[in-house]
Amino acid sequence: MLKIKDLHAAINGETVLHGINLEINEGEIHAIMGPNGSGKSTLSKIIAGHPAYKITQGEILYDINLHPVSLATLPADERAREGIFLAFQYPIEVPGVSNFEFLRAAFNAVATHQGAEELDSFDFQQLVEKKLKELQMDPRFLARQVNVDFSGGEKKRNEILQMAVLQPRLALLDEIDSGLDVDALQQVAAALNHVKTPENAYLLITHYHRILEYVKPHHVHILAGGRIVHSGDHTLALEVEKHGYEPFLRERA
Amino acid sequence: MNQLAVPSRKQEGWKYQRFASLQDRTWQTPDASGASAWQCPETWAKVHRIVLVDGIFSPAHSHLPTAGCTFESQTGQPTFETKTGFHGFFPETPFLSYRLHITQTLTEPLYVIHGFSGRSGLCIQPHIEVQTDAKTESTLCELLLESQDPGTFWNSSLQFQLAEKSHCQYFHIQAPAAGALVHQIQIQQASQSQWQGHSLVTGAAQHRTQLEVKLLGSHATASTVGIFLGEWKRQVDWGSSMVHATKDTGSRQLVKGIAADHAHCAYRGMVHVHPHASRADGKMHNHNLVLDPTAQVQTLPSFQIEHDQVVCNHGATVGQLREDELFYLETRAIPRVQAEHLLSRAFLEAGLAGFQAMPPLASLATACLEAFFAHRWKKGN
Repeated sequence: MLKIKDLHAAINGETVLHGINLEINEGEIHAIMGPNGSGKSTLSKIIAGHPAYKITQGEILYDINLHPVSLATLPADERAREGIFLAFQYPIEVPGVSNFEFLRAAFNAVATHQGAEELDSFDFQQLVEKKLKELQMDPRFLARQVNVDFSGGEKKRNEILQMAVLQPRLALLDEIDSGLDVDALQQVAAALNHVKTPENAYLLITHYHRILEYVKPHHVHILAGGRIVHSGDHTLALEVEKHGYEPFLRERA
Repeated sequence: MNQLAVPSRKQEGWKYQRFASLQDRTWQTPDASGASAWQCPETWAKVHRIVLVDGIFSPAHSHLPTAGCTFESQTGQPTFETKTGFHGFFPETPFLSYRLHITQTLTEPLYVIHGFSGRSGLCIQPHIEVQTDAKTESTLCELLLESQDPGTFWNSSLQFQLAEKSHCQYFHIQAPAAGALVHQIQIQQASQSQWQGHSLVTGAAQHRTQLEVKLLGSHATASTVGIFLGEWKRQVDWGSSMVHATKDTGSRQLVKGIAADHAHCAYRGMVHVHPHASRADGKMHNHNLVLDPTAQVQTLPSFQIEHDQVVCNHGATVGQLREDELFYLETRAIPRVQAEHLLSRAFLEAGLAGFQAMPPLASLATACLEAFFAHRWKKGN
């Protein structure tokens, strides 16, 4: 589904990724861990198409209609319509725009791209209320302005509600567990597992092992200094929890 | 130039618009035959309405309330005390003067609809005086919905005289105009009267909307919430001034503007507190979004305060849409132009909210906004 080859990227002329190689197939969950400033969030933003980052070398190939397409040619909104979803570490507040209006605009943008009919307000209300029920979320979310005055947990769950409505093929989850208490973490993890299907894939960026207890990754990668320095199965996260990143950084050196 | 009552650049404190080219034109005089070329849109067919076609009252198209007000033609040159903008009419072209007298509370809104016959080269100069009797309540909606011929000059004025304890709501929507458009709205308020204005203007090839409120009686209050939208090469020139002439008066101005393409927009706001206007309370805010680097907005809020015991404040901003908000919406598959639309609409929300109580006007305001973004949408795709 996604193949990253020797990816180098820069922001404001400064190189922040130094040759990333990664392959994600449908159905897989990949976790990326790493110390602060290692390039984890940068990687997710570059895949999503943040205009401030420039790919200086290498490429990101993403399957569209079974053919690998270089993402460099696609702006962020087109990538999203092709099924790439970025859950933000700090979801943006959008004053004045209701969640309902926002979700409907997003859903209809994807639907029309896929050749389906747009949903009117009534039909979309039914669809989104079903999703809210599945995720055990309060329907009053819909009337609120996007992320405005939301608690940290509500913001993260709102990201997952958007995922549930848009049903992306590849979800980039940038520290979806940050700032959550134990109960909120369990709720977010349950929602992520609910939205997971055999067809979609997650790239889950995290600092901590705890979310990986609930959302089991197939592969864990350690990113440091803009490179993947070590990869392994889910047990790698436990090793990081016990020993920190130092042994892997030494190994690389 | 003075003879034509067109302000020169020297006369105006704000040298934004240039109307000088109007003096070189030969204008046609409208006549009543224009009414036969105009049809009332179905939306407004059932409302109480005063219809002026090419500035001339059309009884056939109008539907006045059976009680509560009178409407009649009147003679005599209207007078204006303003020192800014147009302070009169083109004298060689007849002005068309009417008087609306509201004698009782109007339970239904009264619409003033300006229609156009499509004749080219007209100088249309309607003037309406609105007088409200004491303790009456009324809602007046002025609509300028059609894009008249590019060779037209629409030079209009509306003068309110609010008696004691009367309450008047004024809604004003102006669709984009291809010609020149000057609209003056003047309000004089007696004690304890209230005037609330809600405006949406979309500019013209040459444009000016000038609102002037005089709070002459104590405890009189006035508020205006306005939106302006400028696109293409249109101009929007919005001026509003609140004059606190006596004690215990209050005024609010909130104007939000969006400029796109090659539009030139200007806001000139004024709060003037006279020497005897103790405890005046005046607030003035203007916030603008510039969507393209080729568009311009200038904002000039100003105060003239001649009393110490007042509460006045203002805020003015000119900015762009936030890139992080746009990116967030784009990562949710929403195309950039649609993201701009959603965020711009959110920016205007406070201005649009006033129209929500009037569903036909709310739809019309939404349609104006949709039309504004339709061009960008087309260009973006």
